[in-house]
Amino acid sequence: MMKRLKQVKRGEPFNIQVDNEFLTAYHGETLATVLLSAGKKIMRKSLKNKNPRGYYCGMGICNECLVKLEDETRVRACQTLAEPSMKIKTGA
Amino acid sequence: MEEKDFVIIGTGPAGISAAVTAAKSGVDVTLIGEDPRMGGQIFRQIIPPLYSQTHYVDTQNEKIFNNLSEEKKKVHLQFLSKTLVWGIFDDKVLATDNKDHPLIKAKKLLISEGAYEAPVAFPGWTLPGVITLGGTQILLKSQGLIPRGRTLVAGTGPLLYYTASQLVKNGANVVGVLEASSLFKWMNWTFRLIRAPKLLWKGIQYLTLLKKRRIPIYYNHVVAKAEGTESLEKVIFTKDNNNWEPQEGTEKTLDVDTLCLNFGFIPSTIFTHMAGCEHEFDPTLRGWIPTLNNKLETSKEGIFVAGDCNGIGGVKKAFVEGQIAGTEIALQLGQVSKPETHSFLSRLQKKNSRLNWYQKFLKDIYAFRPGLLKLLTPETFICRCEEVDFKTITNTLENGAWSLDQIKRLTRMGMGRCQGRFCFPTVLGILSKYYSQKELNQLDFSTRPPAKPLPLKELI
Repeated sequence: MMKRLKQVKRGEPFNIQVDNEFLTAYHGETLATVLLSAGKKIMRKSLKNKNPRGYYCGMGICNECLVKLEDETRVRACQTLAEPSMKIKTGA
Repeated sequence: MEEKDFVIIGTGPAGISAAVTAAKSGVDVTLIGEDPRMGGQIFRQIIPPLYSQTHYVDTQNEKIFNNLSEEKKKVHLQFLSKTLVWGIFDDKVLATDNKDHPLIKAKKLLISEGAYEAPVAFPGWTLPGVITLGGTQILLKSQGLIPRGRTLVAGTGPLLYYTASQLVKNGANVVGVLEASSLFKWMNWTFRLIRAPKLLWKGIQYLTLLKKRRIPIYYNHVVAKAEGTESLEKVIFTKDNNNWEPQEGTEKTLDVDTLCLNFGFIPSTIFTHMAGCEHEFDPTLRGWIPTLNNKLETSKEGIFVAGDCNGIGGVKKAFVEGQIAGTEIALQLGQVSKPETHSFLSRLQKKNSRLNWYQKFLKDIYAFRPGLLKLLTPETFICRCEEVDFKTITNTLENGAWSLDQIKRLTRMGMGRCQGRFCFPTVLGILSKYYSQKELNQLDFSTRPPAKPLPLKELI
């Protein structure tokens, strides 16, 4: 649902594992950027009704873009920088 | 515990300008910000190593930004980046998630925590694909990202036209702009911009570009509903009146992939509330404003406030307010003498009051119109985190609950991860129908640490 602007220079790409696929990421990008560029809008499910939620405020206050890291901690996709060898789970 | 002379929370224009002003007078300054770089939301910069030759920082503010960056180089500042202040306790003690600085006691404290997007609840507003206009700006400025697919910009105010034209220029497919106010209202407001010809000129340029690209602007229209199975697919919008009340029978539908919304901003007062400062409720903002003296000191001695968290006034005002607070704090810490600063301070105060018209201008444009509450259906979630719907809130009110704290305890509204930032404004809008200004003023709410959720491991 988002696209990377060509005029912004990005370094060498690397992969991060999201659910069961590999997505392209660049240093300096947040997890939200990686997910949205790959068309993945759903980042978490709501607590009670399990409704899909995604990137909303972008500044780290709404917590709608929470994703799960390998160690089960939840981080805000909009505030967390992507790093090589990261494994994240969405829709949790 | 570490002791610091002057601690600033927030690194937007107000925070940086206070820091530079105080540091120039010899004050030892500590700036705390959650982001890797300074700038706050308005001056958000691209995150290195991403690199762009074009700055997506608003050009009308570029001068202030460049000046601040230059001045910043000349002074010594301690900047604690990626640091979240999660609590403010008595005697200006701050708790942070920074391992090297877990507890900081500040002699003087400036809170410049800014503002956030005013939420407007309507059916479907929680669907992925419905995002804030601020969130759109952040993706563009710090990540070089624009929406792919059909994009609709909606809400009210100048930021709609600015962002829409910025997106169009960068190749996004903007299918329209929905403006809740009427063209007639806008012509009236535009007259007031004669005092700021540069701003007026910018506005004309944005509108011209949108016209050239044949992007329709629907005046007097609001989003009524967002639909989609797993994410946004369709937006239903209607005509509205001057109270922003949706008009039945005027529904139109558009296929939309991304909906970017802005209905103005709400001052962040989590920290001033936590610190126990006095506030006044403003129904047009659906939020509080800390009570300040003319040197921007709150009712708590040694705690100051500057920038948008003291009412939405824009970059210029934030910059001047930062200077006022920075000067006064340098004076109180004994780094400068009264005669030295007297004329400087009164000049700044005059400059600040000359900018009041712009604050008033923004206030009139963005003032909450209760007609928007007609968008709510019984099943519409008001609290996104705890999924509390409109029906539950009205039932609670009809059963006699009257304060925010009572509604909170009975329904769990505001107890989720956003800490009430995105539900209290809607509920306060609803309560404004039931109560007078005086009663609303007594409706103070309580905030407790942590100011933002943090992992338990940070505390142990």
